[in-house]
Amino acid sequence: MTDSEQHLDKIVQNARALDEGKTPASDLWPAIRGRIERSKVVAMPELAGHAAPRPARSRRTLAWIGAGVAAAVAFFVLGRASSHGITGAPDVQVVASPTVTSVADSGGAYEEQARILFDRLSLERSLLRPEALKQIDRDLQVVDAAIAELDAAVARDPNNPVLRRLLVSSYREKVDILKRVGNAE
Amino acid sequence: MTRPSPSHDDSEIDDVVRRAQRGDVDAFEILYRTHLPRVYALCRRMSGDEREAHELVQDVFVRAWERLASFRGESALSTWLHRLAANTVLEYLRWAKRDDTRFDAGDVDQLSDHSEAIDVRADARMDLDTALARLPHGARIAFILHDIEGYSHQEIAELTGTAPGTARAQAWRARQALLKLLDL
Repeated sequence: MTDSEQHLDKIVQNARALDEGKTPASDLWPAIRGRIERSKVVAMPELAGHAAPRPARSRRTLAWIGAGVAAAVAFFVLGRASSHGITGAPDVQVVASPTVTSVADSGGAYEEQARILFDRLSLERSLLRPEALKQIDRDLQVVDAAIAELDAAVARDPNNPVLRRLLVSSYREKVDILKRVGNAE
Repeated sequence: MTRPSPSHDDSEIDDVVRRAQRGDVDAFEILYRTHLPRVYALCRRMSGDEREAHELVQDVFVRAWERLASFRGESALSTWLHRLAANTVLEYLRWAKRDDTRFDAGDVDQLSDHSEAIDVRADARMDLDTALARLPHGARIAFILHDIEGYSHQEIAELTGTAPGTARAQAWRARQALLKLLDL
């Protein structure tokens, strides 16, 4: 091994040692905990007829999330996005609960999951209270609009990882809304 | 692939893991705090983007929570979690179509022609990360997993779906490029 290679190894070793104390600038735990808690309360029954826990999120929260997604879309569609410019984007990531069939981390998988849940919702609409149905339709409309806008934006700029990630986040949110509908009947 | 996890002795960690497996979120927070620096470093280096790293760290720990019940303790939790983190980032890079950049022998010379050497300053991590960010993804990941994280070429090949020889070649070329970028 040459002196240069030894020097490189030393740099790697030092960098590795410095990693031990380095954490993200902001505390990520509250967001992680939120996602964990949400996945616990939105667990859908695997078998029809099982009692499911009531959703923890209020309609107001749903509306806020929908508005947040729409705001994020508007932000990007207006061309103000850059890979460093999404500080204000809301955390709309939701993951499937352990009791739900595993959802791969891709737009396609979420789209498929959303389609299945939407089909189920179509069958169950008559069981929902009219005001709840109205609210759900409004939330879905907001998220669908966000998805459509992001789809178009991704088509224009297919290599933009931020846009792609936002699109997945929107699909996740749609899946989350539909799962809560399943629990809310 | 072995690197010791910080603080907490083994029996203490075992107890915390068992509590987390039973659904104790507070216990899981201890695991999160214990393993965050290494997971974060891996996500940051592999993605090459601070913001993406933040999101990936969240994804890793949410996924870890979901799969914790499947952790049987055959390996250290740090090894299990690290593998989960590497897989999560690689999945993301594949999805973002950023894993297909091959780094060939001639690219090392090309890289040095177009890039200024980075001064080696006191902050080794910053220097190394700056240099790593200039490498193509494939080479960067091979180097990070092998030279920094201690994976074998065989393990890298399994994780990335390439041949061991390719992983070895990518790591070697990344090394040559880093020597030039860091002006060593």
